[in-house]
Amino acid sequence: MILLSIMPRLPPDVWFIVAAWGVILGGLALYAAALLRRIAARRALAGTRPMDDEPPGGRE
Amino acid sequence: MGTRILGVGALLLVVAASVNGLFLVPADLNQGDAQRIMYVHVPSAWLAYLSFGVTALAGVGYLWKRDLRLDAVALSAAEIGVMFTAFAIWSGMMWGQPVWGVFWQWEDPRLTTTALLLALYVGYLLFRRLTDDPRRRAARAAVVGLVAAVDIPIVHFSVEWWRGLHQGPTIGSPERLLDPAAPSQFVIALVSMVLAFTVAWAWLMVRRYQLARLDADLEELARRGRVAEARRAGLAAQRVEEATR
Repeated sequence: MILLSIMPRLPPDVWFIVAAWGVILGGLALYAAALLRRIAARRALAGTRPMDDEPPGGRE
Repeated sequence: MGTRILGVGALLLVVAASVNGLFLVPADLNQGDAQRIMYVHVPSAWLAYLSFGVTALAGVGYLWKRDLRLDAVALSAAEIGVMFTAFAIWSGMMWGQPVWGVFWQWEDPRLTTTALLLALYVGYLLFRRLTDDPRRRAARAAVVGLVAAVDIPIVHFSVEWWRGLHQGPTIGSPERLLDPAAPSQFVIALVSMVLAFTVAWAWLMVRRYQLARLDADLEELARRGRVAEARRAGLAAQRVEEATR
């Protein structure tokens, strides 16, 4: 509600600024978070990998 | 530990430079608040150039040394470069509409060559998926990365070589850096944002490189696993053959 009451008063250029900065800073944050998550997932996978002498399907 | 410090430093710098660019620096007399988009547009464009330059250099390094770590650097820089090119195009469009009256104009050489740059490096990333052999992939990607890098100087000098909607560089040369066309407050905001984004780029590069190396290790483990499995299957088939003789 607060946002809606402020919205019409903002100059039109502000929406372009919000769109440009929002996508870039948001995109950077999302990419950084995704990188950290993917690194953690790969490390977990590498730590629990099946051994070379393990039969297909894993050990009982 | 060093990477963590770099990450925290990048975050603090980006926050500080963003607060300055968004709230402390006054609006431009002609462009109004839309000028603030330049504080993210210019750093994005600079980092796109830097990333693709690193991809090309790492590609040359790979062809020379045949070290797969250099291929991981090339891949990391290309992926991050694609992201920053997309950011530069997007922020340019958001600035173009209020200032030029259009989001995009295909006749403009800077805009068109930048779109081509994005397409070339998206193609580079797709091209890398065509083969599973890491050495063959690295060699082919190095050549593609070098060919694509030809577009970097074309993008940069397009505003000087051809007439278009895009303005010339504000700080494009050492002389311009010492005596810029824009007021010093704007230049300080721009340079601090370029610095903050470059530190963030360095952190992203380190992390993306780590991911690329982990992927390469897992790929190698999977390959070894497949070979071991094939050997086991071969031995089993041999035993069955011997037993049925």
